Amino acid sequence: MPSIRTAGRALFGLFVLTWSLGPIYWAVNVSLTTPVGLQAVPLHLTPDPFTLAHYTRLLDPANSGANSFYLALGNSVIEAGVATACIVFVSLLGGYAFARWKFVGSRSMFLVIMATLSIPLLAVLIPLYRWTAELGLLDSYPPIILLAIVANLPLGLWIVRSFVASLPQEIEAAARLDGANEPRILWSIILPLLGPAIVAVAIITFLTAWSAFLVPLFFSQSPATRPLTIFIANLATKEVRDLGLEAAAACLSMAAPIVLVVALHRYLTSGLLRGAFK
Amino acid sequence: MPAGAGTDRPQAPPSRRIGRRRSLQPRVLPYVFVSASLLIVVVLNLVPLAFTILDSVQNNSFLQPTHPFVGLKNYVGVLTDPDFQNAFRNTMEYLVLIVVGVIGLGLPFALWLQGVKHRGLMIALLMIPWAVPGTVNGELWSLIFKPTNGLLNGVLQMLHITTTDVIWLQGSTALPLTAVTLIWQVVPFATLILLAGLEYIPTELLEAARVDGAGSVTTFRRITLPLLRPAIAISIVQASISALAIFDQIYVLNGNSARTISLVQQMYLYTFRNLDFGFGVSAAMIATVVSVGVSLAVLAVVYREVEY
Repeated sequence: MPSIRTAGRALFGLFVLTWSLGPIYWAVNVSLTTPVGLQAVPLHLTPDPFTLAHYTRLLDPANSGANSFYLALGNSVIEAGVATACIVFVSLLGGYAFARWKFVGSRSMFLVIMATLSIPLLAVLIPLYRWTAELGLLDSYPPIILLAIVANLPLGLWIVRSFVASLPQEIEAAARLDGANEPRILWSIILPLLGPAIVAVAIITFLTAWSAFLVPLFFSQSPATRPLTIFIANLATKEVRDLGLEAAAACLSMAAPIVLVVALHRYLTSGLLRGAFK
Repeated sequence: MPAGAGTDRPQAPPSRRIGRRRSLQPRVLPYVFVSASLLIVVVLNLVPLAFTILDSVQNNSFLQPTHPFVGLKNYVGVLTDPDFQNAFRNTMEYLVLIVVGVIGLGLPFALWLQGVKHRGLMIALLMIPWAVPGTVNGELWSLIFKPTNGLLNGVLQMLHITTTDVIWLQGSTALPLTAVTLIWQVVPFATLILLAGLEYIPTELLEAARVDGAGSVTTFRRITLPLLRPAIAISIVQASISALAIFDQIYVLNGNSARTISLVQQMYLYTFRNLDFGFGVSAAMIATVVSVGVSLAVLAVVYREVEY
């Protein structure tokens, strides 16, 4: 009965896609429907009447005060962007060294770094919060960025190390015979081959840092450093809710992650799987 | 399956250096290269962890100038606090619901993906919920669970299943529906791991079973499922770690309501509402021990090396 099986598969496929994308579709729908349309009974499943007013309200330059969407967006870009750049750089150096060189303590150092994967963020958050407060660095970018780095560093190192280890050593041997020094070998011979690993590390770090909530909740004291995640939480927990505005903000906050995942999913999945099957 | 990142297995170790070449290895440079990684991990992870443990045995209120040693008093205080016990119970409920939900959806999703057309595109679409930030995730489901003008009530009324607006995020439905939001987020990663696990199963084995007359259900139960144990174990561990850290969605959906509050949230409240760091770090340590313990237990029970 192949036709029943095919129909069953198609039906299940419909369920899979509805489950995965339904909640996103609904937010898009709400963000494009007028307040009157949102209260329709029975419910409108498509934007009817259609409007862009929620977006124009959200993005109106006249509202660009201390609580503006632009400020939160800028903070998210800075915090996630800088953390990503740092992680790529640090895990590139470290991953290369751990893959190619055996030196005193290399094995135990690597194991210690990997073991920190099992330490949840909250186990270190409170002392770090106190030190940050004593240093007067609350409500500044560095602590938020550093915590995004520390959360993703072990995975980044792991991905780069396993990727470098899979490249044949002969590649560098020839350059070494020609007298190239080690930084040069890394820069002009290994680096160009590491594209997929770098993209994997970058996208995983960026998406995790973009989603950060607990850390900025601890360390951001004002809108000056608050990312989109906190902006959204503040909108959603207001006494009087503004569904259209909330939905528009949610859609814009997840647009970048969604585009990145769809465009770069090959690198993402390979990186995640490398991390999962240690 | 992990296309685009080389075909070698990640496990492949670097081939051992031999004789003459070893002398070419730089002496200092390796330490320079790993210094940044090491520094970050030590200063921002290991040292704070030590201080967390130290803080947990001190009387550590923000409002007091001195922090005398109090032994396990904070732990006893936390463990006997009804608020903590409630948060702990809730978190265990989250753990069970999320693990069951993630495997219950992830496994059929992975099986479906195995034979689907446009697999790359389907994987990309399936991964989307993983990338949606936790608070946005909470917002999406809040638009669905909202009593008036919410999608769930709207659809149920359209289908004439209910006639009134049900307040979903109160009472007995609050916690399971909050769990759904995290299940939605974790299923993609589990699906990916399970799909990779399915791909490692040699097709000859499945063929052989079919030739011997085994039906598809038998083949699945006797061959696929046992060989999938490592992948299932990893998925369960990933889901458990996420479940035990659940916070963002709850905060957006339900604030600090006792019905849905989690361990992480309780730790946050100890620290910032009560300004009691001793209680905060003790709660954090208990949550950490539970998280590591659950991971190890799952691996011990479910994970066994599989020989093909």
